[in-house]
Amino acid sequence: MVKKRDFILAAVLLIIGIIAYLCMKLLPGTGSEVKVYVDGKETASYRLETDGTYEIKGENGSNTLVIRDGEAMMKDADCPDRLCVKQGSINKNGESIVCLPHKVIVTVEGGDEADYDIR
Amino acid sequence: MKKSSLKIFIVCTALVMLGVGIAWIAGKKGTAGDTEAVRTDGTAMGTAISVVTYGGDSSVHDEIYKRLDELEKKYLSFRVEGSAIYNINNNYTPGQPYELDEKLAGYIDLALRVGDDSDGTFDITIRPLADVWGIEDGKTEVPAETDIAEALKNVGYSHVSASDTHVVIDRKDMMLDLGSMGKGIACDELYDIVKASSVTGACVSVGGSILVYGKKPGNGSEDTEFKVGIKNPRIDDTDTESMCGILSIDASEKPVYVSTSGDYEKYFIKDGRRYHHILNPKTGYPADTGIISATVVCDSGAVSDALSTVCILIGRESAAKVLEKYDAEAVMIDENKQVYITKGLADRFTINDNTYKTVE
Repeated sequence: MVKKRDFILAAVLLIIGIIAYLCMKLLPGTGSEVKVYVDGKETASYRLETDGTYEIKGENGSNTLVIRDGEAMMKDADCPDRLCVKQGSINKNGESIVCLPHKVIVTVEGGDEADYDIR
Repeated sequence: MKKSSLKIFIVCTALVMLGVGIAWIAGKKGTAGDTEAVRTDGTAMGTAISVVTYGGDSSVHDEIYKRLDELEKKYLSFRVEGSAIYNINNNYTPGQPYELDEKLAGYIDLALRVGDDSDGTFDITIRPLADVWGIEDGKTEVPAETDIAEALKNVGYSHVSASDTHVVIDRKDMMLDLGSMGKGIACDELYDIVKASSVTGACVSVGGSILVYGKKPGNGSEDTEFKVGIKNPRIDDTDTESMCGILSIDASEKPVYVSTSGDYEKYFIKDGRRYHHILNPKTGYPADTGIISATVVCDSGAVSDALSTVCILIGRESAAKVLEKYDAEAVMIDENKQVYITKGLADRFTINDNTYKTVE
């Protein structure tokens, strides 16, 4: 009796371990993080898979970061040039959005590689 | 009973972790070390910087940012008190030779030559006109004709000459501004740092100018070229591809410089018309040649930066001659999303956004 239950427990644990590992392996797109840097310091980190709207307090102003459907974009900014809003959305490892006036950089870390090295 | 169950639990957990650990290390091995990119994003010289390096010591990243700060503060910025350019602008005596370091004199001389080759449109004395428009500072109004005319009185690079070690400005109230090639100059200057480092491959992006150095280690593939993304000049909504195309750059023999200028970063729209920051000193208004993005590839950062602006200023056909003279190649995009590629880049550019079409 006791042994049988132990076996079941062991089997369940093993299966959980294997499934967890396969998930990590087979879904390369997961695990991407959206990191926010203000003046070179990391101030926040969000999962690319989780939708949300976030206010970034930069220097001299703020930006609105939206994460939706696995993409991150600047929805709004109160800087004069609003260049960050015009940079479109990002979702690949190493891609970034920069807001110069507020010294804000948003980057994607981890996940699929972009099809370019630099821009 | 509880004891044995705990034992099995520990054994199983340990086994699973061991398995995951071994698999992780095995997976890591192939990409570790020299084939792994080290990437940093930051700001310097008032623009966005990205540095990507392969192999060697990544401390070169810090050196690059440090050098960029130094270049801005000691040499290039007309705004920073004490920089070489600031000093000329504020201390020169009309008609008298002003001594400056050889390198800077060389860049000024280059800028003047590009001015001559571009029918006088590339002008490093354009600052008073740029100030009247104020597009970089977020102004969104078309200035009055009289203000433009007034500003243009103090614009004209023909009043400037340069020798190996001196510059002469023959009238007062003028201002040198190397902004239209400063990022390219920075790339030229960064090459020395990258070359002296132990990295085997690198890309450094300073705003619109990029230095491509060495080889990208392929994961078993022969391809050692770097892929440079060309920004989409018309991002209408968030579904638009952020890159309109990709340029493949072979820097295995010598460094390659790639600079892009366009009407899509600093601009405002008034009454349905786009007013961008690349101003034509002949008209006093933003260039209107139909070219909205120009990427120039050659073996000099300063030349690539200057010529990318020239393409916007004088248009495709006239620019073709200038490009040839400087042994440069280009990708130019017009307002109808037609993409013109010079011969040397023909098989190196891939369209990423299908609303753009290559011509010829």
